[in-house]
Amino acid sequence: MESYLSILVGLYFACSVYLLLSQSLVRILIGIALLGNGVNLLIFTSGRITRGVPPIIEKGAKVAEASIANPLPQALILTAIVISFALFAFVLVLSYRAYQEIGTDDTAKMRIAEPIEPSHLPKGY
Amino acid sequence: MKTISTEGAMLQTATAAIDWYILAPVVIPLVTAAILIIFRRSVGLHPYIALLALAGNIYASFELLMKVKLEGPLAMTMGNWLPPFGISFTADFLGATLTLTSSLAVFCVALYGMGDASARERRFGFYPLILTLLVGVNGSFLTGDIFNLYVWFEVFVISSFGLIVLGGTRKQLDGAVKYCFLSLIATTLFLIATGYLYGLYGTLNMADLSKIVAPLKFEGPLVVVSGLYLLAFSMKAAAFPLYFWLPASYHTPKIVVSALFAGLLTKVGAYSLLRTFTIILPVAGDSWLMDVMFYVGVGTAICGALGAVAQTDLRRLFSFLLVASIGFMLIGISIGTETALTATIFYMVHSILIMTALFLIAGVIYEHRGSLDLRSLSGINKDLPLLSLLFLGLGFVAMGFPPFSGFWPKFVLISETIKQEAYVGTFAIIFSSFLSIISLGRAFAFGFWRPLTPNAEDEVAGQAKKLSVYSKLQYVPVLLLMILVTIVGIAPGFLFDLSSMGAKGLVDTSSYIAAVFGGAL
Repeated sequence: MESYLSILVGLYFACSVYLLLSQSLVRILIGIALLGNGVNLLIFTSGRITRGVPPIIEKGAKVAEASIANPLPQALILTAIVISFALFAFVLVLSYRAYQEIGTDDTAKMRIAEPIEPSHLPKGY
Repeated sequence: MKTISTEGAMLQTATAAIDWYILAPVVIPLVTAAILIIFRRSVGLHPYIALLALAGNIYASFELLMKVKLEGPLAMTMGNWLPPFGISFTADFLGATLTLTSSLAVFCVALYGMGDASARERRFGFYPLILTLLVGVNGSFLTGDIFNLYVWFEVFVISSFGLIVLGGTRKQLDGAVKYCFLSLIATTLFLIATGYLYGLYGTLNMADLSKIVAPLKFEGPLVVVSGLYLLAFSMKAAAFPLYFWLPASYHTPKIVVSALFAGLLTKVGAYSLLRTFTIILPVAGDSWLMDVMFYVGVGTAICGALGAVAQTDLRRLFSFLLVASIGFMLIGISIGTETALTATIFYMVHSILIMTALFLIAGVIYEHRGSLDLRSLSGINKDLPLLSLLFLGLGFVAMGFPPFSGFWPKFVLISETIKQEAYVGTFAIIFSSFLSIISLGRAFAFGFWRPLTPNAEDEVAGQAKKLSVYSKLQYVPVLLLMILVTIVGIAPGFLFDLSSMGAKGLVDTSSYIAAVFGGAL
């Protein structure tokens, strides 16, 4: 099971890198979303998969009776999901605002902060 | 029902009150930020509450540092779970020193913000955001858990997102797009590396990882994990060849915001590299990966300084100098001897203070002249002698002239590169410093010495009418930082002791591990 998931994670990362390398902001956004999901799956897989035994301990007991699924990756993923969701929401709005202001979503044409024309200091005064 | 003793896993009594002290540099700004949001309608109060809290924070960080100096590294664990199960907060010399320095820098920034952040910007959360940024930065310096480090990264990253778009001009949004996307990708890479690390060793506690990784060989998946950490943190620290986002964005937000970013954010990346390749993954710190980092550092130092020479915008010039300074730290970390690490830590403290000061003085210049373009900036020497003197002084600090704080770490680092026969590093540091002298010297010659150009006269006269009481007040934080770096430069002994103890703790990890595991190794 882990091997299949690893291949899936690899696919996620490959697609996301491909999208991140494009010039269009929208594609980069989708790339970031894919990257975030790929990471979550990666953490899930790296915690090893145990099926059908939820990490729930009997009331009053200190340890589980049988071997249970590893609960830590789930805690990590929950944290990561919340964070990546918030940040993704922010960059989504930011991209939209930038598109409104600058009038393009082509990163090669977003040159307001760094104008293309060269600027030189005078040779002397 | 089986009864099981939890003595090995949990603290049986409540956490000692004194241990909570480690949390103070994180809790104070966090609570204050929350209070400021409650009082979001009375923005007039914001600077006073924030400054009071930040002064308290400086005191708390100082006390923490003194406590660490007295007792060695301190650790506390959350929720009574003993390490490696709970998240342990660990204050060693490195973390405590940097916490104090960043608290000082943020205090100066908040002081500057009194005159600079308008009521509208305060309502949009200028003060709460700089406080939460400090929360994230201090949390990163003090945490002893690598996933927790990721969380603190995200805390300051989201605060910086809020700050960089404050104002929302076109130029700002353009810069923010580059900054935000690159930050997000860098932190995600960090998370990927952490996921692998957990999959490999099943723990996230830094001290525990240190124990597990130390006897291993540097091969297989460990190489991948270390490489990913190097990539992610170098991206965050703006190292060659991944520094382009920094000069593309740091000159766009409000000047006070870019001062805050320049002082703190890249340094957290450098700090994480320092921590990762000494304590967390000691094996990787002795491997060929350090040669890679060395040449990355050389490239950063030279390319950053070359970029600075080519700039006409003062803030972009400073951004490139910031990139160059990261190069020195990387060279220091990659050499990795105790002396080199001492110089690196010293340089980090110096860099936090001087970069904040340089961007703040750019703000003062902008306040008086309405421009930072060296093609039109002129005649400051005659009109504003104090500003001119301050700029010259800060320039000397940044170039590394004695008797200021930049001299000592550069001197030690250069002598250490010669001793370790890393002559490329020696060349890079000297050449880069030489270029920074040229770029700052030219900035001074054009902006300050050059007589006022005729077409700038109207603008200067127009700007002079806008000056208020606050324009005088804005000198205060710059002066404070100038005094601080001069004191450090004249009497470097105190900081040198701290840095060398910090470096000792990184080379010999036993005291760090002992602090986390309560002495029982």
